[in-house]
Amino acid sequence: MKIAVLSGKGGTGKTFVSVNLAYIQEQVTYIDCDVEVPNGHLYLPMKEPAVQPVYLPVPSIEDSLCTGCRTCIDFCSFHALCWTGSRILHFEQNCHNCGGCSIVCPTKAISEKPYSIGNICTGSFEHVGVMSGSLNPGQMQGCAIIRKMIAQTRDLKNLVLDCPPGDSCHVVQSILEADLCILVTEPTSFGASDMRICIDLLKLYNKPFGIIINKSLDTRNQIKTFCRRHNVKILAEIPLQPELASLNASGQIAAKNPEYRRVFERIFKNAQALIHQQNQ
Amino acid sequence: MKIAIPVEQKKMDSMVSATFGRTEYFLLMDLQTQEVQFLDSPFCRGQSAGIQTAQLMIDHQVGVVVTARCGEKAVRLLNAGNIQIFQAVKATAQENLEFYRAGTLALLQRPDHVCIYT
Repeated sequence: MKIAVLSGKGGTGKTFVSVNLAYIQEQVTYIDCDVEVPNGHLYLPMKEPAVQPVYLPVPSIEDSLCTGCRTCIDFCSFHALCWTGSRILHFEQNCHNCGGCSIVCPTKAISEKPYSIGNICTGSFEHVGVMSGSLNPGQMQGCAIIRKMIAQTRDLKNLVLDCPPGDSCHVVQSILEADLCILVTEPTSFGASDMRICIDLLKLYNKPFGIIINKSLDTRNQIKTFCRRHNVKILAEIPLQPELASLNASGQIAAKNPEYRRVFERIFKNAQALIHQQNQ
Repeated sequence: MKIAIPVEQKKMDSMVSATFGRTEYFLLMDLQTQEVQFLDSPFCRGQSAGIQTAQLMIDHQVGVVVTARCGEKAVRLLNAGNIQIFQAVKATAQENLEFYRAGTLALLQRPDHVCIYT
């Protein structure tokens, strides 16, 4: 089963749920799709990971062939190409790597060269396969890294995709191949508001999903009210516990403790049941 | 050579704008003929304002920009176009022109970091 874990609001416990949900499974790979600030490796440290750089094609301009006609500048919708008065200047960060400039150039002065935007680390922690994408600071095209990680794990059966917060294109890219999405939220107004935004996104992409209320207090809260009213499945409530919080904050896998392992096994079972229900 | 100053209003005693790329108007002055022209900047809204505004400067054969601040990418393009960037003082465009002529303006030292989420 390919499970994507997302949240809307940051800090609700996506990585906490993801690493533990991966740890209780066999033959599973954890993928950290939060390429701007990957942190799953703190819980699942890889020994000697294989590092592969991720490149995108950007224009390489041969000044001696450029006539300054500005066809490429007019073509580029993202203002990645500019005219300095004597030559073309390229802004790699604005480039969407479409290759259009090299096609429209009448004198064939533009070819493509690779531009490094980040890397992917692959390895394992105990029985869990780990893949972690990392986008270089200042770069914008994190989707390319996520796309590459998903392409490289397409044939694997069991994945846990730890998504970035929010509902940006990085999140959309991360959930595309998921069989099921788990929305981790917390009983705060901020948590509830962002959860609703993510629910809209998941409905748009027709993804089966369930909610985990993390840091839950055993009282009525707006998350529960919302889920009841809109017939949204709550997969689990993880109570607010100082011991669990400090275990997690020290980088430990909570599911190594049998008591917490049972919590995540139940979540996994409920998730399987949800998929089963959907397929009927 | 032309000098360009981002301004809040189309007049000589307008204050200098707080921004470069997102200013609504530019004051352009030809330093030889003293001819003044006000330019509408179409890039004050939308993305890549800095780059497009810097391109506007190059296309108008500007040699000197006097501005309160300027983003990283605009600075890169202005530098590539051999345009000098001076730090404006908090005063009118007219006063900044006089300070430039008197040679008391400093070059802009540090480009502002571009905030991509605004």
